[in-house]
Amino acid sequence: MKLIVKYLLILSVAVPLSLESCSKKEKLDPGDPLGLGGDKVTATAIDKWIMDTLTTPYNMEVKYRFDEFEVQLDRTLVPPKEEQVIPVLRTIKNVFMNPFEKEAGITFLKTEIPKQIVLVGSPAYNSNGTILLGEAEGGKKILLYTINSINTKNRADVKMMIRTIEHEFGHILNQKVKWPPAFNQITVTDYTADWTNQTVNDSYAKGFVTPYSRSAYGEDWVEMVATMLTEGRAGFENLVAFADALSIAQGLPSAAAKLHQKEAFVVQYYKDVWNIDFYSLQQRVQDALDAIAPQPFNPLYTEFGAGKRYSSLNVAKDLQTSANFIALYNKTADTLKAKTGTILDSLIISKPFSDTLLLTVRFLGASGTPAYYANYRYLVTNNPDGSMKFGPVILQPSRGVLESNANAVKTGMKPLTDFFTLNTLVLDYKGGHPNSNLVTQTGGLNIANGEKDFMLGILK
Amino acid sequence: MNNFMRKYIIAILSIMLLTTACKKKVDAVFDQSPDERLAAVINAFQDKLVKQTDGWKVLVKPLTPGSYPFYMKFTNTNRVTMLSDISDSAAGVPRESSYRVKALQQPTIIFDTYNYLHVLMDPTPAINGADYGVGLVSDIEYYLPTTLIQALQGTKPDTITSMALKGRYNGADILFTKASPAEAASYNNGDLRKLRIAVNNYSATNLHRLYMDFGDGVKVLVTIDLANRTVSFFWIKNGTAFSFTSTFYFTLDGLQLGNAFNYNGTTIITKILWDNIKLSGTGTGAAVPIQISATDVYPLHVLIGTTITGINLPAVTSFPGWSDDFKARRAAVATALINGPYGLTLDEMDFSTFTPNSDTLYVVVFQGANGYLAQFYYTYTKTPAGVFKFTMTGTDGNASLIVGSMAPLLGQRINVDNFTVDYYNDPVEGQLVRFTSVQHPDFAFTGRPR
Repeated sequence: MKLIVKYLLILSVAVPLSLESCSKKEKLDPGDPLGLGGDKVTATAIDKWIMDTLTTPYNMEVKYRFDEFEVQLDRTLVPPKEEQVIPVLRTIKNVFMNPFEKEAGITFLKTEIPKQIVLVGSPAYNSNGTILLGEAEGGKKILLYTINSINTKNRADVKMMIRTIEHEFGHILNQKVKWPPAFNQITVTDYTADWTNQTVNDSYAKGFVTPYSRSAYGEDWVEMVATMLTEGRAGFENLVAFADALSIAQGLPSAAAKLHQKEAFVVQYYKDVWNIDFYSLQQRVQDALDAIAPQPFNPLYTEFGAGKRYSSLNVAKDLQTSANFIALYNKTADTLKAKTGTILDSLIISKPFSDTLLLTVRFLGASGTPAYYANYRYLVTNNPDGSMKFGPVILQPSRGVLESNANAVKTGMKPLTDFFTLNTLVLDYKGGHPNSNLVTQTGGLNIANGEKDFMLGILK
Repeated sequence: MNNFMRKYIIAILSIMLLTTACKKKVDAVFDQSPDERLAAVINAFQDKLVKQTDGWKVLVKPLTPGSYPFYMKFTNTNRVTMLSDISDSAAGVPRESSYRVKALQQPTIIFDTYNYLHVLMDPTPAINGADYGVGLVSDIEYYLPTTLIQALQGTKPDTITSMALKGRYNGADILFTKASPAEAASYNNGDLRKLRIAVNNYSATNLHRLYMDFGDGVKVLVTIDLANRTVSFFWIKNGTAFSFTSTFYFTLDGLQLGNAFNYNGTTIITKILWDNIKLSGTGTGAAVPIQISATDVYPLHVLIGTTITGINLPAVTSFPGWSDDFKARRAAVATALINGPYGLTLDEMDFSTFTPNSDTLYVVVFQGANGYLAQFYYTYTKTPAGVFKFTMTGTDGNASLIVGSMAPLLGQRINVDNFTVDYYNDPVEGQLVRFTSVQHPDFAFTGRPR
């Protein structure tokens, strides 16, 4: 028995020893799996730009190197051209991110922004003949296609891309706070799974901005957001007017009423939930788009006159930015007050005939009432570049215009009436192009080859 | 049991215990983990690419016909620079992009930003003329097959001079072959571009006049079509027409044929060489010079129905080589169609699938946005001098509805007159085929040949 104990003792020491010595020979640590920690590629200037401009400030990853696991596996796709990467991202920064940052602050943007953008060079071709422009996944990732063919100087190209992003970003915000359920009731009977077979015009007439809007309440909501932001207020109002005409033609309830109702919900949601002034955001997006390329437009001088888009320019002092014009205006007001005791109120410029410019002066009696109108008429020489040269002011009654008031205050108005005769002037939009976010446009009578935004007024 | 036995048993037991415990030790078949071996292969392959300072001649064979050569140089900073023969500029202007070697299901090289290589894969038809959404069925990710992996793991990876990889998505083939210092100098000198331009100019200048003679007195017409990357051979022997067409790609000294041209069983042409002055065919047997005939080797009318199988008249009101009378008659047809019961817009017209004695005229008409195809069936005869006489043998349903409206062109001219044919050269459209009426010489029209 003693022996057994002795041998057991030996064993109890030897066995663990032997096990230990065996285990020492095994490799229990295989090291990290290959590729753990992501791909290692040597950073290029593009990578550095992305890091400095997007990743560090906004915690946002951009993937432009092809990675089959980030895209649909059943499509033939190619990666972006490297020279497209920074221009496209800069456009996204300027048109999508900056307006939100300015309107809602950097914290909002850092918190809510999609965390990953994946760029693909080609479109994704669908078997039904359509192409995919973008996709979003789980509120985190946005996939953008057709990067190689996007011209970042072309407004339509940029709008299409930004529209995709705004759409997906709308979803992301909705995942945090849902849109108000009352929104769903506005066009509740016209949502359909068969949206691909609905025409654009039919969707307009029923109070939707796109056929895709009809697929679900949430899609309707983000399509509204994307449309309003990329089209601007003026563009949206044009769409509403067009849709309304279609609804009337089809004997349906007013599409304008429905669309304006939806618009109000969107604006209210952004105010209440995110403390964002949506109209101001809209203006910022439009300004950014205008900075890339203004909406194509006809020169104002071709759109101004009797029977044309604009028939008058209503000049008001509070619109002015030109110190020279304010000086001229004040001098005229002072002269008018001194010579006639009346108060200069505002000016209306119109072109009832192509060779005739009418300067209508609204002035008030010494006590502020009543209001009088005086018409000063000029013969106009229209130059090929759209500028106008004026003859001497005409005070004789003609073409149905009575000139008695004009005669009565002509000495007081002399600084302004002389100015017309002495200068070559040209009509143009404020800033050189229409503001795509405004329904009512501001224009100006500028000095040809001289000061821009000189005599500003509302175009009517 | 005595004491000794007890001791013995205990001793044996303890030894057994010790032995079994040691047998638990894992004896690895490989001395490294799979990850380590994978990393080693990736590094070896990347090293191979980078250390070949004269660069690689790379040949891609997509699943559509033809092969595409590239010249590539790799850096260890994930950059690749390449030239390609897909266009004059791609052959002369190196373009840099990104690549990485990575373990996917297999060790794989991924060309991960756009370069000339991606033109083959691009799904946009306007880029490469391929089918919608699929490109030329090529690849941008290629994996290392087992044989290459084993070679890289072997004792002499330095002796590898070429590496064949396989496309992961479509299964295209890619072959990397080491370039020699002389070849590298030539690529860097823009020789590929110079060759491409020279061959294009030479073949365009001598269009229809280049031929080979394999010693039997038969002139084999050689036509190089750079846009479609094909070389075609056409000959008439004992009154029978033969033709053979192969794809080709450029090498530094000429055109490599995708399919060998076997004229007579003894002379097999696999390559057309360019020596800066002239072309010649080589392969098996002696080189065969490509000669220039003073006039067209074969008159145009012989080619129609053999190498030229279709003529397309685009949907325009005026086109180079259309006579005033033809334009007036086409306009009359267009007016009759739009004012007819179906309100149709005349689109393009196409003489398709010319065979030596029959043809179909396709006329495309649109009703609103919907296109319709009207088919008029013809046979034709041709005199030895090349005078064509078309006979309409029938129509399909659509064509029967508009045959009356088409009368100014068909019933009054094409169906009844005899026609001669010649080339019409236009600076913009290039070489067109022109038919002129014998009875009414003021009626002539051209089309783009196929």
